[in-house]
Amino acid sequence: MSKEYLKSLVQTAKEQDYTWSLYFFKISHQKKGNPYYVYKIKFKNVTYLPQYAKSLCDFVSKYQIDPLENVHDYDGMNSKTSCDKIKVNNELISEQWNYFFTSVTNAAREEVKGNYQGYILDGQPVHEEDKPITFVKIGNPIIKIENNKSVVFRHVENVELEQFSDDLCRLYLSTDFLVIEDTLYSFNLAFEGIFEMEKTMRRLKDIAIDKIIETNAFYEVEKVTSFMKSYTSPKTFLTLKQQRLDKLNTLEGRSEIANRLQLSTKDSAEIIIDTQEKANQLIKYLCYKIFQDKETDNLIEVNSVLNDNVLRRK
Amino acid sequence: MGIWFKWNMFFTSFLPLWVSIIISDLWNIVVKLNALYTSNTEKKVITVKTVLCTISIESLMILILLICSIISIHAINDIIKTQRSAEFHERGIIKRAKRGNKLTAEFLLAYILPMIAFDYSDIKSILLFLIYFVVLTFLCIRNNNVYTNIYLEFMGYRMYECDIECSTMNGSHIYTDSLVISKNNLTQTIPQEIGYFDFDNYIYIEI
Repeated sequence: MSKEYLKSLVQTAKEQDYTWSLYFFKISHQKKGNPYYVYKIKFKNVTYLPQYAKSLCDFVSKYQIDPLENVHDYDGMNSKTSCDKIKVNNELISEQWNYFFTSVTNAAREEVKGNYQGYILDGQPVHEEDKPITFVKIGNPIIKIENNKSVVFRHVENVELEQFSDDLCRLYLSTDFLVIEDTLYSFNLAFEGIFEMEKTMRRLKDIAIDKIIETNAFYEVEKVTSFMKSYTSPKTFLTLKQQRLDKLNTLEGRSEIANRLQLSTKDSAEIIIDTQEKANQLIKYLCYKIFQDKETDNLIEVNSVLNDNVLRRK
Repeated sequence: MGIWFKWNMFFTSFLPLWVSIIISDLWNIVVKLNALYTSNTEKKVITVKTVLCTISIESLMILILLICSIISIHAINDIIKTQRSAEFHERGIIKRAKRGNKLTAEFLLAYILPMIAFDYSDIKSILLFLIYFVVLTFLCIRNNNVYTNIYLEFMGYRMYECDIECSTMNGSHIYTDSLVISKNNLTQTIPQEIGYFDFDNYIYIEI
């Protein structure tokens, strides 16, 4: 789905007839089960929310979608010039998304005590042909004016000052991610935190390691498993591709990989991994995080390639 | 708005009780004033202070009930008017609808009981009633119990027990056994899309 398509959906939400609802949410990941507490907000003046929603759509379109270079599938890295998309039923977030959805459908009307972690602006189209759109912003919208460091006053009539201690609510004209139909479009990686993806990724890392080990491509399997489990960034495994696993399954493939990564082999081309560094390099290769520079034959990490992009230099 | 609206709904659902208490107090005032004048055989000057002392409890009750009723009615009208003024309303599809008849019985029980059980010209009785009323208010607002609201009935609204499907985010959810307050006969066409404003996930007012 292209950037233009995403922009057209946000523009539709701005121009067409939508009903808008605002929810504040709080997350408590320590508790088992559904960690989201959602509170539906009502406005005294019914025009405030539609006005805010239209401004938000306008700003998101102008300042968040226009500067994008492309929209691509979530791979754990956000280059700031791209928007990541991920299906809400993707195993990485589906469980947490379902909890999130359930909490919104059963949102409380009485204030949920404590600090909020963010807010949700949900737009439902009046006309069937338009699509529902949900904006999510991470950050407490409630600003407590009163604190130990200062006293706040406000101007009232006759240029007099009156002490002011009410809490304020600030809604931003930007979003961290938005959901249209069953796809989540993220402008940064903030959604990883609210959907507790670290935990899911650790689980995926274990599955990925099992798949790598199942190829029987290694000498001293237990050692290799232990090195792989000690690899610190589970996010890397998101880009593990079957193509590279298939390569590990064949003798020629193993030899080629060993050659490329300068690893030694035993009989029947069993790859010897005897240091953590070698294990890290193999993982990065299998997950497309390192490439071979055709000019120098050196192995280069993806991050270095991105950082070395001359077009980005000022 | 939620609790404030629920309080107003709760208070106005007791309007017949408040009217009964006002009539009862007015009756007591007349009886007491009559007794005051008939007992004044020595033709002494009856001061305003004496009159006020005699009917103070009843007068205060009438005043409080009138003020609270006016505020509550005004608040309900104001909230409904404000919600109606919105360009677009939240929408839901009625999947099942049934007239909320049993709510009327609950309501009668809740207001006839205090009417016969308490004497509203006696401070002790009023205090006991206040305890009963505060507890009932707390429980009803906390648990979203809405009785047949006589004021809304006068305005032409009726109560329905419905299953209503509402769209939220990228999906929809059916709220079963919800209370929908509507001026239209919701049982006539099913399924039927309605515009509403809600003050709880299971209580809706059709706009």
